[in-house]
Amino acid sequence: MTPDGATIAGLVILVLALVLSTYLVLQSRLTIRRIAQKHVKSARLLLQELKHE
Amino acid sequence: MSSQPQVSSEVSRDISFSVLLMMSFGMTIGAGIFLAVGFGFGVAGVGGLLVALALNGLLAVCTAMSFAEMNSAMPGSSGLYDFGRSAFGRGAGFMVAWVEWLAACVAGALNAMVAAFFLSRALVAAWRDVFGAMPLSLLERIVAFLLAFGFVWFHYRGAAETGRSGIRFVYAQMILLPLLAIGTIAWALVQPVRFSNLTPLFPAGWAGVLPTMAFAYAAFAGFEVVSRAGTEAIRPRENLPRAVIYSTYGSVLLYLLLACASVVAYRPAAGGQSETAWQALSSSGVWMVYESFKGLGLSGFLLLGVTVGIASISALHAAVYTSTRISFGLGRGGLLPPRFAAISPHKRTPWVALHFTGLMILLAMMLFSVKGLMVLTGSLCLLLAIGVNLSVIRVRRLMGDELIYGYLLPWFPLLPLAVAGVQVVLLVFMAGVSPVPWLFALAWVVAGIAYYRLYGRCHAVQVDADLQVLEAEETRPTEGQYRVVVAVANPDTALSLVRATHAMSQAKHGTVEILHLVTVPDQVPMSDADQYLQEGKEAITEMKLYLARELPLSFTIRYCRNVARGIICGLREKRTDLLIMGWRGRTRSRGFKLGSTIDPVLECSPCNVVVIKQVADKAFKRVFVPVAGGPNSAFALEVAAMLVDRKDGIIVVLNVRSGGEAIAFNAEQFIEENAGSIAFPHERVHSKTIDSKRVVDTIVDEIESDANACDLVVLGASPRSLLNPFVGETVVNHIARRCNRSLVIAQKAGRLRSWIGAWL
Repeated sequence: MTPDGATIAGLVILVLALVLSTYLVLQSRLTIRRIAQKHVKSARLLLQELKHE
Repeated sequence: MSSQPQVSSEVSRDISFSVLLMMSFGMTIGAGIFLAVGFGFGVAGVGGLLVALALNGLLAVCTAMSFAEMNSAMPGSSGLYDFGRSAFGRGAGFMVAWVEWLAACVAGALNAMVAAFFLSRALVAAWRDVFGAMPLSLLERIVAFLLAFGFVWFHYRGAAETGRSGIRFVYAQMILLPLLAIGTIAWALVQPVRFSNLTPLFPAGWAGVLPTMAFAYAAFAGFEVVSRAGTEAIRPRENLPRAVIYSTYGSVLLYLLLACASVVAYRPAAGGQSETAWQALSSSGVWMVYESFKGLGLSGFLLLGVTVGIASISALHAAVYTSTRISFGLGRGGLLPPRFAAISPHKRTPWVALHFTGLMILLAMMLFSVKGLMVLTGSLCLLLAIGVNLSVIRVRRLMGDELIYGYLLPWFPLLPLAVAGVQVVLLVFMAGVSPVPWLFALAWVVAGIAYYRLYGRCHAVQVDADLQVLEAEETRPTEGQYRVVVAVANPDTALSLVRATHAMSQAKHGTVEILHLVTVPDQVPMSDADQYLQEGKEAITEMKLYLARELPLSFTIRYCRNVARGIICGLREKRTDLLIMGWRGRTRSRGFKLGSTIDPVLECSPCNVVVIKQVADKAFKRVFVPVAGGPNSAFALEVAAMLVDRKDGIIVVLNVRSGGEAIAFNAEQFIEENAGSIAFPHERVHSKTIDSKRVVDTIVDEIESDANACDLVVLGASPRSLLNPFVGETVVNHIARRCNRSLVIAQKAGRLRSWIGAWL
């Protein structure tokens, strides 16, 4: 049985939402770890430091 | 001489990451997901339900990230109230707490009713002779009342001194929920016919996805309880964000598994052709999960009952704790009547706040059905989530340079803005799901605003506010009069600003106010800032001696933690049209382009800004205005016209063409277009256009050349990016740093920019 358009679209959205959520969580994990190793203070300095890495 | 031993006090930090994670899970996962699965399956089918849960999960993760950033920057805060207050002021903080208070009470009522649904059926099954004759709906209400009353009593007895006391429930819940989900799916693998329940995936099309997302949102909220443990958490800047983000993500995965399990638990009719699972179960509404799990027999059904019961009771426990704490805090802060802060002398618990919370839970149970409570909770949670997403933007913009961050969310501020936008859409869709609770939520917000204006604002206890004006000679300009504020941290700087200020205020027929900023160290409470009063007064007296002879002035001393934030708040309060401030021409602060005060002020100012460097007290004969057609070029020309010597001065509009411009700039045309807006003879405004690839070098050479005799340079500030103000180096900044002449940087407040700046 061939899946219809709605099924394919639904699966694509489902997978994309899950992948994006997973990416954001992993990226957050990395950010927390990188910031924990620094001794900088403000959001401005952190962004600059993270950008240079 | 005997010396007294010094006694110091400190808070014990003993809440580990795993406990934080469990606390967050416990408050997030309650009965809501079981109701959401039932509702979503009915209106959207299994495919629509899974898509809605996954998209909601994405929204929840993004909101958790905003919350995590706030928590990492303010780990000692008491949660959403503090976030709202820091970002938007005390009124907004009160509204956040007001909404959160009702949300917690309604969530308590919801969980009590879901637990009662299962418990009453278990009672009927076990003691049919006793309970069988009683109408089931009546029995459910009685059990729900008893549960709510029992938990209020439990808290009154002082059994729950901290939010950690429910952790045992959460551990049980975290074992049972995955067991229920994975066990059911594994059981379906043994009986593959159950997977036929998954088809059709979208029996009702896509129309049900957004209502399902709106209805299910309440199941993803609750992680804010973690912020209250900030003062006791180990390494809070690291662990609070991790706990919030991981628990939300874990909940999303668990919910998807539970949704699949709830569908495959249904046993299809023999032959399997008569009706689909969707047709059979969609009429069950929010209780679809209950009907579906009957297909697993007694053991599966019992497992569901125990799991939902524990999840509901865990969430009920946390809800009573949260709502009591919020109302107690509001009472103590004077925002609710002081009775709410009363502590029982015997039990040492906040008995008024607790009993009022119990009353609200009972009222909610009487007024609304389970579906109505779910919609009401979801609407309130969406409002709070929108508040968090806007607060994170504003706090980073206003206080990003002074807070210590342990986590920064990516794609700032686009991500929180987009998420808040989607949440507004969901809030609108929520009205379609059940209008009465939605309207009740709206009425609660309106009532909160009215209450705050009539009572809360007048009775609020003064706290360690971020800013405080101690001395002010208030001159109230007439409505519509141009208001010029000169911000000075150093009296010596003020003297160099006299001529420029005079010229600009004269040109606009405006009033001038000198705003002297005195910083108070973080360690000193604002209530003790009086000791800095003398320092501020001396500075003001010195300024008065010189300035008051030249200009009609008023003076204000403003005490603040951070000069930039003090200036910006002052500009907003005074509805200023133009800010003038001095610049020493260099920055010692790492990470700033022009300076740790000027950069944030230029980024966040709600009004026009003129930054002045080395402007001598003399008439300017040749004023250079390098322009490239940016939004501040016209304002730079206007400022130049105000400052140039009106008798025989000239203005040179300088344009360097590198050849890479998308649209060729015509300096002559620019002068023509702006001739009307500057009060200066047109014939004394000259243009000079140079072709060169090295734009900055050429402009600096022209300015510094002795042959040109330039004695003042006016630059239009490069527009900062609203999306990311922290990145990028601009031509203007390069020129400003290299220029040795007197220099002015002018930035005009755009209408959109001012509006966004005022709110975010």
